[in-house]
Amino acid sequence: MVHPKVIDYAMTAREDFMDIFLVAHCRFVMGTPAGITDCGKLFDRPCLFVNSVFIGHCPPGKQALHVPKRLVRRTTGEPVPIDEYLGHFRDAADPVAEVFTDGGLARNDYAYVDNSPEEILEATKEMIDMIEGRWGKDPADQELLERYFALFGSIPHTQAGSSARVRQPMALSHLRRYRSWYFPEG
Amino acid sequence: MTQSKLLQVARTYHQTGRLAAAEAIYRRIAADDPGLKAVVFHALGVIAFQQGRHHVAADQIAKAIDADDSRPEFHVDLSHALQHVRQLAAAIAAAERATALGERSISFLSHLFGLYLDEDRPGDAIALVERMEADDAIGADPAARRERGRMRRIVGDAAGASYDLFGALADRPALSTAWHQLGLIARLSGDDARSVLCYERALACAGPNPDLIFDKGLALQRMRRIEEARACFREVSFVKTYTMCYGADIELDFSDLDIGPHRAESVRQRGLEAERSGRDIEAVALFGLASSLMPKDRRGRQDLDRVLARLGKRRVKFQFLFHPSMMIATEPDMFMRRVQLGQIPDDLLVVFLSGTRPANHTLITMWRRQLPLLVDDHLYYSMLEALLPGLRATVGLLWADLYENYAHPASHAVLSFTSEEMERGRAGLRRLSIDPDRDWFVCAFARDLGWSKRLFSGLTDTYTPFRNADINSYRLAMQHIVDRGGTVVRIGAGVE
Repeated sequence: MVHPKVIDYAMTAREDFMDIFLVAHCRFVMGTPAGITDCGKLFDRPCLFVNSVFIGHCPPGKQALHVPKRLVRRTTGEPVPIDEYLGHFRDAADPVAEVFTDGGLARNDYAYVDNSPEEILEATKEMIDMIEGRWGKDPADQELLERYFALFGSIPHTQAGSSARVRQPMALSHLRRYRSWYFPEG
Repeated sequence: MTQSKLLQVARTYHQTGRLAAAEAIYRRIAADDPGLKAVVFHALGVIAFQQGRHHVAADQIAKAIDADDSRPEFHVDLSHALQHVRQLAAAIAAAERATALGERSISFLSHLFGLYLDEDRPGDAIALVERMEADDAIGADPAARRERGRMRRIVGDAAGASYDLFGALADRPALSTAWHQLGLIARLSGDDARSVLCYERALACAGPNPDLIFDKGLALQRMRRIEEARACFREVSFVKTYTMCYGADIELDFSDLDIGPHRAESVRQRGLEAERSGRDIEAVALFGLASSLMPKDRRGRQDLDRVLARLGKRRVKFQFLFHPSMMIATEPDMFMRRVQLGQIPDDLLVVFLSGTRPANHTLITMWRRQLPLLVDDHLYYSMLEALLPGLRATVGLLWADLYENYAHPASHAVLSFTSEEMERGRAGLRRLSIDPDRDWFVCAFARDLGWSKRLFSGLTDTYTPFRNADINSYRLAMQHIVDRGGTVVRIGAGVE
């Protein structure tokens, strides 16, 4: 995007020191989960993780929100049913390998679908709302989040479950948009 | 006895290692004869340095310089003392003063070069190397040329480095360190087969050398000659100890390794040398490894206990940071939050290990202000090799505690910038046309193919591509941020 207020520092002026200084002093970090995005939490900066994998996993932090990629069959593009996805965490010896490695995805005929620009925009608005204290106030949203936390509650690899005591939320816009995938029973 | 005679006696004691006796006499001279003040303060500083009392050394040598600013060796020694107490900017200033006074030894220039890199001043390091190019004395000495070649390699001047190294080898064909450096240069250009050949030439000259064998192992690993690589790692690895990873204790089990007692003893000797030089954290790490290797030999354990007692600790564990390809950036932060929440016992010393090629040098500098941090490629990679197989299975069980620690009200960020760094950062923002007092901004990052191309050049450009994304898909979000008055700064090392 060409705009005087959009600066491609990574391609023009990157250096180790400013990488850290920028992350430490920004209003929030938005990005795919990676080392540099994680650095936001070193300074207790809010973090919006977009295109995150695997589903249900959001790195820890003071104010963190995430939007996962969607999981589909590589050969057909059909969504992988949520029960099948969660089944790996119940049954597989190394569930993370099934959904978070090249080999596991190929073996299961899985592929992740990136977030659309619209999804990222919606999550960005939510992040700003969270920073400004407006996020998640609607009772219907609270209920939706509780269902999400309950759904992932048995997965120790994620933060979503009640067993973790701390529950890092998924973007509500994503949950609303794909509600029927997460909760096929209605 | 005259003052000059006393000085002679003190020097004799000093040169023969009777440091306490030498110090006592030096102090008498200092008190009696202000005219010898500079020489005596310097000698007292050198003794303190030899005893590992680096703060005292720096103070004494600074007093010598107050008395006589014209002696380059004073500034040389002050620079070394300040380096040991991590006052790197002051160490650089002292070193630059020494060079201004005529200090030109290759070992000292190498020291200054290292300081520049430690202080994240690569431009000064490059300028120093460029100034050395015209130094005829270096050109005439193979060992000096080898060292200049090493420095040129580090600043990315592969052609200049090769010129120096081959020049050194023309005079001394068995200079193993030059072959080693040539191997590292070949590695930089992605020619791992050539680097293996260079390492083998170096090994033929030097005999079994752990660093050479280890680098050869890395090259073989990149060439996917995994069994040969493992054989190299087994030959030089000496780990059987515990580490902490993501807050958990993991035992590193190298029990299947056939490690000779000579290897363990050499680790112990390195520890003793570190202890004598006052590098207690390094000594702890080495003694810890030595005692793991020699469970039936109590000396390693006794060495470890001695240093731990001096530090007021009873146990030690190791923790890794800054893997160069995975940037485990937040390990020390997780640890510090555990400290804040009282989860780390008082008697436990946690030693952090990093390689010399971290994902971000600034973070190393900042964490060094907070933590005992040892930078040592050999220790780091050996232990990491042992750690990785058990890593993933363990991490999953620990997430819950991590989330709780970050969310806890008593947990807060520990890293901070010095006033000098704040000024540097604010200047950096202004260069990006961001007013540090008025503007707000958002950092945006998308991992893409550039990351894996950068790290795995020649091997693959598709490592975990499912984690990638297109920065252009952020365009609507960027527009929204800009519309609200913010600025978006795209960040990321190695993006396309």
